[in-house]
Amino acid sequence: MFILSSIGSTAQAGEWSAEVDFEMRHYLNKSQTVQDLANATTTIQQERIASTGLASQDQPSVVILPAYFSEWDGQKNSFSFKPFYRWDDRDDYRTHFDIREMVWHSSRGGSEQPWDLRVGVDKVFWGVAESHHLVDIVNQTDVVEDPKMEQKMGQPMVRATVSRDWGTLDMFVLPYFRDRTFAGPEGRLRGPTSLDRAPVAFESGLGRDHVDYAVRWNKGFGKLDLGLSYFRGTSRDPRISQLNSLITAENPLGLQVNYDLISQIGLDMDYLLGDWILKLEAIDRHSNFERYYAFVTGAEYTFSGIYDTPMDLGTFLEYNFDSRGQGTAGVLQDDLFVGFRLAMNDENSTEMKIGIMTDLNDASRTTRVEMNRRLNDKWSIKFLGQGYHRIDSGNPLYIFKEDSFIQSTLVRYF
Amino acid sequence: MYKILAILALIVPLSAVAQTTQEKGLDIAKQQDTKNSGFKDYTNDIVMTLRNAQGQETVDYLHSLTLEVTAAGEGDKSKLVFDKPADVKGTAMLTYSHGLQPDDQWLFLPAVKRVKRLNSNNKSGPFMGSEFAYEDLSSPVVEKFSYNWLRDEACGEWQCYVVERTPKYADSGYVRQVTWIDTKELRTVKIDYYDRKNELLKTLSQSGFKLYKGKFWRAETGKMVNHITGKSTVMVSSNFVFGAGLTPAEFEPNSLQDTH
Repeated sequence: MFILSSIGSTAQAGEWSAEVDFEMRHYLNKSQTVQDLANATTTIQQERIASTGLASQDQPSVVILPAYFSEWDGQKNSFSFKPFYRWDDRDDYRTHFDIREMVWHSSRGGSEQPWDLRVGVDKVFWGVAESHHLVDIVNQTDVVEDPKMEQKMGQPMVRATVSRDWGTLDMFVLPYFRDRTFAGPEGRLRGPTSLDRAPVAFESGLGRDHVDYAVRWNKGFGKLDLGLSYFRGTSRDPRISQLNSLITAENPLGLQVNYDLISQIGLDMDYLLGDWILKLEAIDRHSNFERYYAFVTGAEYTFSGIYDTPMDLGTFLEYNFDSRGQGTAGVLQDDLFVGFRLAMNDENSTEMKIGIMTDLNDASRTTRVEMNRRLNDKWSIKFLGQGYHRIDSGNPLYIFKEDSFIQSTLVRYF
Repeated sequence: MYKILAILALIVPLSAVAQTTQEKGLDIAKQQDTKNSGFKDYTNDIVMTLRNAQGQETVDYLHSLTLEVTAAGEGDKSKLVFDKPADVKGTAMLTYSHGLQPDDQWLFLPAVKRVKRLNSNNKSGPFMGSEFAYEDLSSPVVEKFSYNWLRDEACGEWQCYVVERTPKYADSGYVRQVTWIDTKELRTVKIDYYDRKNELLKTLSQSGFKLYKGKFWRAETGKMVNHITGKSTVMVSSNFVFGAGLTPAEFEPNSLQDTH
């Protein structure tokens, strides 16, 4: 009786919420695969086109994103659960389920030696730059969601966090590996063949069960925020290799997806200089296959109250470098990013973002336009345009050159 | 001659002890600051109703955590978390307010779980599309303004000091503010905000004052009216909990990822 009543007094009822996205993506051009098949006009090949979802340039899909949260012991303990499901009308491989979060968080050690423990599946973000999340390595990227590489898959982890005068130390044990998602044979934004049917090879004999480790220290020094990180384990970025022995009907190019063991040192910092925010992210990564370094650096400046309106205009200029140079791996090896974010500061939180990335080597260019606006408490709309322009045949993005798209999303909140 | 001496005798001692109006204004601000110090920390819920000139309303729900910083010339640390509408749920803003130095600010974006540093130079910008500017919500620090006592007058049921204050920090949207502070408990009842053209831009009226821990007054309702656009925002604060035992670690930028 006593136990029951004490639980009743400390536990708060959990809280469910949900978001459902109704999304329509429209590709401006026919897919490269369709175009290639159209050139060779045998009946069998034309039938192949007609039989695939690729024949259409429209890609409707629906996302369901429930969320559960509860806390107890006077907010000392909490549990968060966020499953994710996307149904895609065209691409069976973009139809996928994931657990974004399923984590127990506990504040421990009392008031003298406080520290935080998290156990479960969780998401972590590291970094300061807008154009490229270079140091961010804990979670696998859910690429089929968005080529911007910002959507992440849930990562199983045990995480301990200690915050003291000397800064914050985050320690991670990552016991299971998540494969990167790839567009399927009927999907867009992929190479000549889908990587979903290529075999996967792990450098570690333990495969996905290899235990990875990560640690990050960060501290604020007034105008300077500094972070240092180290990761040791299986790379989240696949290395694609080609072997003739792997050629099959389903894998006509004989591709293989390799996940190598790597270690990576990362640095991230931002510094406030007057009205400017200066940013730097840098990594040094090495494996048995390569050693390289990369950085992204730049500045952010905000014009507030432009033209005597309540609107703010944020401007971004960032430079990306990768020591591997122009090639198959480093997409952002010598690339300049210019970005704008217009916040209307109205009651609908209307916001518009524009980003232009230019490869300074070959003048290949990608553009991205985003707009968000709340309609009311229950609904909001989003618009996205992603463009690939004058992509050079030597650029890794060449495979996406026909995949410029526009996308509208209607979001309903429950 | 006697008359002159008599007048001098009256004036000289008076001027020796009398404060200038500037000193009196500063003194009132300091008293107000002293009266509000020692609260350590508090949490509260906020319902913010935005109303445009046509009378259409938008309602936002937030909760707030505040940690007192006792160092002289420094402001408090505060965290504002959005609960509704759903599209901004979990978005949180952490502010270290300072005296004359710009505040330190971080924003948490829950969709990508990202903590982002902000430049606080947009002090005059609107908070969430409301009639409150960021600087209106910044924690009060005596050093932020220079003061000038204007007069004493009745303000509703109470008697008020009327003190003009001029922002000394950079990037303010105001040339001056006129504040009404009740003489008995030093509660800020009303503030008139004058824009850079020295025109009356906005008026904040605070009401429903409640006493917490026997010492700290907090207004339940703050209504900000924009005289130029006709828009208004009403901020209703409730569920004040003083001495909630908040720790400095809960006001580290890192901690924003745990906001709910």
